[in-house]
Amino acid sequence: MVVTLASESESNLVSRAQQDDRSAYGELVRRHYPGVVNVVYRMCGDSHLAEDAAQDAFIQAWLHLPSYRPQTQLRGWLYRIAINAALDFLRREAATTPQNIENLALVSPGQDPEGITIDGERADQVRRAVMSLAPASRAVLILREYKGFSYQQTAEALDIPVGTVMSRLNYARQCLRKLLDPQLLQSEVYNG
Amino acid sequence: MDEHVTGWLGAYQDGELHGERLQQVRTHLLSCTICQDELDSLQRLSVLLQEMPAAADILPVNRFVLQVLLALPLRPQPLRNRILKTSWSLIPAVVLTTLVFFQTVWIVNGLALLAGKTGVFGTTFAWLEPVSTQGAITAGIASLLNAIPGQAGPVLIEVLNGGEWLNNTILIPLSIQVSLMLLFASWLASWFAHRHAILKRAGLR
Repeated sequence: MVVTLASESESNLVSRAQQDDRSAYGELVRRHYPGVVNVVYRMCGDSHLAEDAAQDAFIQAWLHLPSYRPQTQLRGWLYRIAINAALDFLRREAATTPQNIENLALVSPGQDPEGITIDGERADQVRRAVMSLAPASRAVLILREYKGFSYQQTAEALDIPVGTVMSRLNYARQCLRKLLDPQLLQSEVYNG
Repeated sequence: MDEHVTGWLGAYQDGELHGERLQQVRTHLLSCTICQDELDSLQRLSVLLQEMPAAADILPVNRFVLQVLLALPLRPQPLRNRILKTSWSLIPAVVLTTLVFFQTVWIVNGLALLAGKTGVFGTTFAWLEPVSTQGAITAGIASLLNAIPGQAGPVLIEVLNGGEWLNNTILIPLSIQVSLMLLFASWLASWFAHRHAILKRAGLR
């Protein structure tokens, strides 16, 4: 029976990749690329930066794969590396991040409420608000909101206690609610 | 009215509350409009976040995989592995050096014996004349053969004593050379097997 890489289990691929099998690792990259690149994109808000950071994350993961233990979820382990890679890239390209909250200027006082329902502008406001969060809170928020991680999974992925996950998530949400225009969070505006 | 449960609303929305705490929040929400509004606001925030578009214009997966595979570096080996690997690769050099060393010793030994016997240098290099180990070895073998019951031992001793091959210093150099060659051949075979396994893992075989 011919077993192709695509049909091989993740644990087998990990085991082979740990023994320097590059084709097995290639298959793991193929499976996790969409997830990793999206996490990185949410962390840094730039597609090109996200690609570079994702590549860097997969290279770091390759180097550290021999120390990976299957008890940990591979997806979570990769996301942690991806988040760290994204933060490294952001530090290097500090110009791409908002310098302070005042610069966000999420909405001008006299702006027509109709205006902020435009999808592009709303998405931009949300993106900038997310980017203004502290990296630790942003990472927790991204894993929860975009990857659907439970608190336990988030805690394992980021190697922090569950209580810290909860407090960081609460803090991130409170910050976002303060930063975003209240009209965005009203049901009338949201319903369009 | 109970104390507000705003601190638990995030976890409630995420489905992370259980047991008594979950019941407490549910009961409170039934009668508290402030906490209900708070929960609504959290839910709308979550929907807003979900609406954010995913990364666009990113590399297709096949190209990305190829790019990553081309950029993968060699993994640094642990110290123990590095020591083993270095020792392993040094084996041929050690075998070769040992072989050269023994050959040199035997050549010098032979020349010194020859010079001593022919008296070419008189007594000048008499101190260089080697003490023959052959006699000791032959005596050792003889004592072992003597231990064999019956006539087999003495017969074998006769054969050994009579055989030119034992007395003309061929046996020991030859056995050492053969041992070294065998060691090198074993190393070479295992090196080929290891290389074959690496190529097979990399999909090149």
